[in-house]
Amino acid sequence: MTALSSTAPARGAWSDRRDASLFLGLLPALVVLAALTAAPGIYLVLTSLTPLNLANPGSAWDFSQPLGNYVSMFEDPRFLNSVAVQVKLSLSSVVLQLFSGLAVALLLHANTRVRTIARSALLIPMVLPPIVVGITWLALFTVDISPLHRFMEGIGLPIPPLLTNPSTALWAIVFAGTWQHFPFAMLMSLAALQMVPDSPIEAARIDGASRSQIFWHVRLPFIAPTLVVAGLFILIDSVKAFPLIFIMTDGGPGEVTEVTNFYVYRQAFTFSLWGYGSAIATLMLAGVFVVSYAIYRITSPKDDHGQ
Amino acid sequence: MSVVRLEHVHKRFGDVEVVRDVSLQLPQGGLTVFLGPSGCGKTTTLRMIAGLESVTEGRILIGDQDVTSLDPRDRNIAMVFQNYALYPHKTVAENMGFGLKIRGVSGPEIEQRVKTAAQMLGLSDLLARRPKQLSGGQMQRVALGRAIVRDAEVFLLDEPLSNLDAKLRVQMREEIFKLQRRIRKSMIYVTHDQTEAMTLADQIVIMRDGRVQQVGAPLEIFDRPVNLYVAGFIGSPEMNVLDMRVEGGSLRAAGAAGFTAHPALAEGQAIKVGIRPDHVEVATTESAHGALDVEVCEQLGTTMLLIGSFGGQRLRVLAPRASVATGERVPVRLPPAHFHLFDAASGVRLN
Amino acid sequence: MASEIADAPTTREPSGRSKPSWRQRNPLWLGDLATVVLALLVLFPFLWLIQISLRPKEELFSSSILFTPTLENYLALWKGNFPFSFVNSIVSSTAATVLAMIIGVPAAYALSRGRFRSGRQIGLWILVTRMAPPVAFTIPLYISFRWLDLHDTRLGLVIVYLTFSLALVIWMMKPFFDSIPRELEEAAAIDGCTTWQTFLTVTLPLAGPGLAATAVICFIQSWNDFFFALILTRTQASTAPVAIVGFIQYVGWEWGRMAAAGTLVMMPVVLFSIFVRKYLVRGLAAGSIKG
Repeated sequence: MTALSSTAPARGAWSDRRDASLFLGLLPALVVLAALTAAPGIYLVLTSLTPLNLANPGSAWDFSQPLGNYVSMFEDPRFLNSVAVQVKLSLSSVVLQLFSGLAVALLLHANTRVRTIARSALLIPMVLPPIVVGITWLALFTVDISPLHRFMEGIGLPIPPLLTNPSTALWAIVFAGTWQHFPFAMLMSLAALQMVPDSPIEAARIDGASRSQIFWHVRLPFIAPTLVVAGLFILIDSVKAFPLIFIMTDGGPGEVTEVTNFYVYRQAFTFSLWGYGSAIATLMLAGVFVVSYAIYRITSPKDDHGQ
Repeated sequence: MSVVRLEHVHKRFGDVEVVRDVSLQLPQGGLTVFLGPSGCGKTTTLRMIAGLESVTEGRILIGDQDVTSLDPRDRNIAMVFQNYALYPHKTVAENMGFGLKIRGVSGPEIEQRVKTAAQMLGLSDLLARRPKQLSGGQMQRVALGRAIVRDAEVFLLDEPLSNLDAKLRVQMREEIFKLQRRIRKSMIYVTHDQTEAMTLADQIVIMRDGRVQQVGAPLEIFDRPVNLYVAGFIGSPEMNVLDMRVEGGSLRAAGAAGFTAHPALAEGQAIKVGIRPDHVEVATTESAHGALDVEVCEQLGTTMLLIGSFGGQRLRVLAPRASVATGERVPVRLPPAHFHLFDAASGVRLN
Repeated sequence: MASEIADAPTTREPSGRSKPSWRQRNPLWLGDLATVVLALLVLFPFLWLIQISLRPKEELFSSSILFTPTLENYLALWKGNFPFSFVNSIVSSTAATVLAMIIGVPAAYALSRGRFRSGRQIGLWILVTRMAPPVAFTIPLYISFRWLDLHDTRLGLVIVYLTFSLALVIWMMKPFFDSIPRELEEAAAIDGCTTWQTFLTVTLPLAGPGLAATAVICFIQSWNDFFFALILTRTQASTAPVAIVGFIQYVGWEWGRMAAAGTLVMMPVVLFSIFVRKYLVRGLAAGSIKG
């Protein structure tokens, strides 16, 4: 989108007048975005440099120890635990969602009536309000009422309650989250698979390649870039995990499911430690920025200009 | 009296100069063709006249008005695009009338002018259709109609026929020719197809690498190409170009008899001699200047095209139909009256 | 040596091979069957919740598959806060979507057609806004809302929704505008249109499907929000997703009512998304549907 304009500023060119006119249409959006994202963002960073909390509202301008919160963070075992939980959640989310999404996409790739309808139906988990997903899986993991538990018991493989057990709670959440979000990876994979050109596949078939060989050597290289981008999106989204944890485990048992995002919520809104919460949030924002930049670089089309 | 004038127009994109120092005067009421291969700058020049591209240096005048910094809509021009650029959500009638509607012309007058133009182009039955219901030729006519309704001073056409199949192209070419002669509007037509240029133009502007090579009437350019490039570009089959040298007052090529050298030529000068395939004659052994070792013989019906080696150089001969086999040695004559002489180094015409 | 040749689903079967091809060993109906099984398995939780909402209180979780459906759970929702919060959801989501479209669509057009030196940076800014964790905005907004008296107001919520909605609208509409041929606009310019006349009379009518899809996805995004509403509203402006949580705070979870509320809250988005399935892929690039 950067301008590759003529070197000499053409006198009163139509294209320049057009750009000025177009900018007027962009301006309101820029103003709103600045007010609603840039301003709060700056305020966030500023607050992170203060020990602001509800008990001491005057400390909003106390910059005596700007990096105080950041130092405390790395000495805070609960914070460090939340990072560990976050890493576990994010990595498993990326792997499981990509894998299941791709697998389902491969199944649905054919053009039969059944599969075409399925492609729409299987979107449902992804569009559901996350809180509804939360209560549904909360119910499904509650031993007394869940048909899943009853079924497993019935076939002789009873499952203990998962959400109250520290070693399984996080994985229960990961499972519910994978159910909720796999359609995203599925859609991206489907779109990518559709764009694989026919000629290399035909050529490979003529050369005698088996179906799995065709997948590994022809299809996969083509869809790999899309999968990478999808993976990055899933990664960023996993950082935002909240409703499921809020409803299903409330961060527990103990702090086993307390991801960083949830920890910030606790610090900022349960304990009203706004300065500290802002510091953690700032770090999260920085991480998101880095990954977004990577996505942007990968997905931006090359600039093209008429001649 | 010229309707469009370009004065020392340059166009640069960043560091790349796409149009270099183009100065032109285009006559009123005539059809001028910008001809050249892709990338030669012809479309960019057209778009600069339209106002869609800015001018880096130089002036453009339409009528007697300096339009260089004016918006396209203030230039009194109309344009026909290669891909027709019809508004998909509007009917044919609305497409044609849109320009007038935007300028606040009254409804009845728009209707009248659209009707007249539609009649001229045979579109009267299609006025209520949408572009996706039209064939390529019909869409092209609607694009023309849109321009005609505007009654602009200059019509600009950007390769309007290249999206049509061959047969349709010939037909539309005829129609555009008749149309232009009928409405007597100045037209600038961009194409890479020399047949279109030769048949339609009052004046051809040949461009290469951003520069104008030659400007003139079709036959003028055909008979007296001003450099090697133009000579090779115009004319089908392509003009033969033979390397010759001035030796002892004669033009000599390997394996051929000498020709009397033009007095202006210097001794030892390397010359490129152009002669069109249809001017090379199959001769008798006595009157021949040399022999052609035939490699390919293409029978075209009434004529035949012989391609082969003339003293080591490639030669094409267009001759009346006869029976010739590959490998035959055919005596040929090169009448000097039909020689086009070019300096070997610069390519500039000498005679 | 007869090598195995794999078939794509749409080509004809090879004949006269000594070994059956992959396609002959795995005919399409097998895959269809697997698809149906998979779909039923995946959608089971969703369907299960709906059927709970229709069960009478005594039989909520009984193992019998047959039951007499009743609307008593839905009727029970009428008393209490839920209808009010449902209306809040409708109002906030609609208002945010409308505002985001009005401000964002021209902005997307400007970014598509204009040559701005900071165009790339603006694009990145918009992406980061889409991707940022809500908590990063919520803390400063929470503090300033208390000060501006916007806490627990629909206006405050709409303002907050506008952040990600605006970014979403711009991110989705720009590619749509990119795909409209420039020549159409050049023709309009020659016909006499100014920049924004061209936009209104030529470009916008052609972007109809994109506008509809963007608006729907924008609405869904606001509708599904939980975090912002949780933090920034209390009783006046709370939205439906937040109200559902209220059913858990009572002694003995009101599963019947929760299921009914959940079903109501998810119905609009499920229906909408079926209509815009085609454009979800593009919207997904902005991570639009994910919470």
